[in-house]
Amino acid sequence: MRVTDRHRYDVVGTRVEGSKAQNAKDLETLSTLRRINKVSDDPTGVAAGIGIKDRIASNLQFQKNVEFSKGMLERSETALGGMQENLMRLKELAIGMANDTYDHSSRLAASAEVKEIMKELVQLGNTTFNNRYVFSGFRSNTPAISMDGKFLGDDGAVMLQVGESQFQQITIQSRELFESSADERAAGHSNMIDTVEELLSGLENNSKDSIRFAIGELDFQLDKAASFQARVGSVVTGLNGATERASRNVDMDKTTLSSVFDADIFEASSDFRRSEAVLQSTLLASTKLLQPSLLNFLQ
Amino acid sequence: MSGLFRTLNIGSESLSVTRMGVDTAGHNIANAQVEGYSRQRVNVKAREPHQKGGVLLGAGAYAESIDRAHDQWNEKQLNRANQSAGASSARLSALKSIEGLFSPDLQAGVDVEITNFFNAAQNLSNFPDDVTVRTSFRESARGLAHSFQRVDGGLERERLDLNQKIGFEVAAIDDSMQQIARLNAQIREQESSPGSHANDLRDQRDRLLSDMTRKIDIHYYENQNGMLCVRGPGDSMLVDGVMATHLYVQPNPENVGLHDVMIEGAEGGMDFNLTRHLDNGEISAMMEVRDKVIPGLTQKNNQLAASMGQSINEVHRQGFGLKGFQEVAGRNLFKEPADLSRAAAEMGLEDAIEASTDAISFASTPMAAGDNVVGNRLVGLKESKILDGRASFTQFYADMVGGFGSQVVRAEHVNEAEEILVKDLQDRREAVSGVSLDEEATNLMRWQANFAASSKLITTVDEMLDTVLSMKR
Repeated sequence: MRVTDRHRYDVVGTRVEGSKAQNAKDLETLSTLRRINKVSDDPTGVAAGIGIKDRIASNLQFQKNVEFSKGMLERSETALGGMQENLMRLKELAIGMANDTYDHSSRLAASAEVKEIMKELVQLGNTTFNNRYVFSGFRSNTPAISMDGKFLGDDGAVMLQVGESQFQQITIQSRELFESSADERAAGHSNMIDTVEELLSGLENNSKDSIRFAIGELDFQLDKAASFQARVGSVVTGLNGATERASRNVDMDKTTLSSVFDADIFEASSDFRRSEAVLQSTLLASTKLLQPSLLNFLQ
Repeated sequence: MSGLFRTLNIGSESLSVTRMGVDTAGHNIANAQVEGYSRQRVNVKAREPHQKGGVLLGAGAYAESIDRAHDQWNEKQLNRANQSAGASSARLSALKSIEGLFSPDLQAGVDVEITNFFNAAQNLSNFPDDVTVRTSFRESARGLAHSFQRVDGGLERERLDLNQKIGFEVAAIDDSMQQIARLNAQIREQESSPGSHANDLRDQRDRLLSDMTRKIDIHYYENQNGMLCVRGPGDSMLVDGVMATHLYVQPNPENVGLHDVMIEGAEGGMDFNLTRHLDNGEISAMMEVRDKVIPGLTQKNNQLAASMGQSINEVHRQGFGLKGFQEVAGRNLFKEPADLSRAAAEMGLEDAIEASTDAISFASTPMAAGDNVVGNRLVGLKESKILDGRASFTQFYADMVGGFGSQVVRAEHVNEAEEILVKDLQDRREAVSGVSLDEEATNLMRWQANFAASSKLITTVDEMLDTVLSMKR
């Protein structure tokens, strides 16, 4: 083949350009430590990455949801615990006052304490979390029970997403807790505050029978509150499982994302070194290639 | 006596040929780096011998012509390869500039905004009655709409840029056509006397032709006068000897006012629309990206925007809001697009939502601030396979980006292969037509030696003449 001068310069140009381009690409990989900087670097990787990034963001959101739900549930649990303590205290009082040794005046005195406890029960029923009444169902701006114990909430169950296609109920429907069902009424039971009212009227009217009846009723209410608390506990356990799952998913997805997008630092730096060496030797060879010419020898 | 003068003549002619040789070598050296230049050679021939005294006596040499080293076959191959290379490189550069719209580094890409929107919906599901959370939900819905608009606007801009570029390219082709016609006339004139080859003009004309082949598909042949006839797409006559028609662009109202390529009719004939006939070269590739690739992406972006808007609205209409909106359902979150083909460009929030965050409706029952049932239904849309019944919003977007990325990669590979082919043919062309300085240096030495010898011949004849003249004394 006839080698012309333009051809030689072209060859040098192409080679130097080629090795410079490779070197620049390797430098980009090394300086960003990312294998993919453009869609065309790896289209399938980018497409997969979109899905993975979305999943990571969702799972982080699920964890946030769970944190919020747990706060709400813990508040409910504490309130239910408080109710039980108060109901216990009422029971203690009732058992004491049912005794023959107490007279009307001491029973009247006890009734004052019962009134205070009743107020506290109502307050516990109207517990809020972030300005939301936790026992009101969807009517979160409305107190759950009135001062005379009437349930003002609804049967709304607030659900939150805690995993992919997985929604979990985070409020307890508390109508049952504060209101007696038809069956219960048939069996002679009444609601929580009415039960306390019964005790109160027994004390005020100095009726031992009423007080004794109230003791049984208080037991009934205590059982109810305890079973609600257990229900809350099981929801919390479920949530713990969900948050664990979410954080495991995040870890896994982050690893996958990194394997798709991130460059292996050792590989990147050795690639860079190699292309740098190639560039240098190309430049060196080029000067050698371009120098000799017959014209140099013509004097 | 006449014999000596004849010999003197041989010497002087030899000197003139030698000077021509040196000039040509100089011309070659001067043009060594000129693109498309073909090296030239003095075609020296021996003169017809004379019959003298029964012997044939040589009559010296003369320069018959100056030729250029040129391989027409290689040139044709190169031009053909140039057409495909032009198409693939134009396609690649057009796709590359669109690629940025879907860069994985974008912080406000459609994918990111979809994720943000649904996360904001979950947050609002957590706190349905919190004003701050409602505001940030509205902000994320706005961000989602903007991201669709950004992609739509970006695609539209690329489309207009390409359109403008097509206009420039067509003007450049037209310019080349006029120049070829002018060169045709000059070449005919210069070559009218036998033995003269318009080498440099022909190089220029080949150069123009090669530029044209990159841009548009053409066929060409040389007529008996050495003039080039160029036929364009659809067998249209672009250059016929000294005549060239005009190529121009004209907005096509049926293609939203984008350019069509038109050719002027010959002598009062109708102008002819070439657009459908273009199938190779830069212009056809740019048109393909302008009329197929970009509208395809725009359509997908619209499909996603419309489908998101519709399905979100459908759920949102079931819900009740807060305060002034707590008793009435049936509100949209996003405006219903008047025209589905502009769904992305016109995506925006419903006026009521813009006016008050209370209009955001997450409750399934009236007057229930803590009700998030509809909100959860909205959140559930994220995982539903809504698009064509097989892809979620994010999957659809990922498919769209991945599919486009593969197109770019394919275009890269095709372009690489085409350019290698062109490079190879260029190398071969260069091997035939290029200037080698070493070779020219040798030529210079050769002609120099020749010059010295020819001069010697003349001084020898001169001395001989002296001898003849001194005989009389």
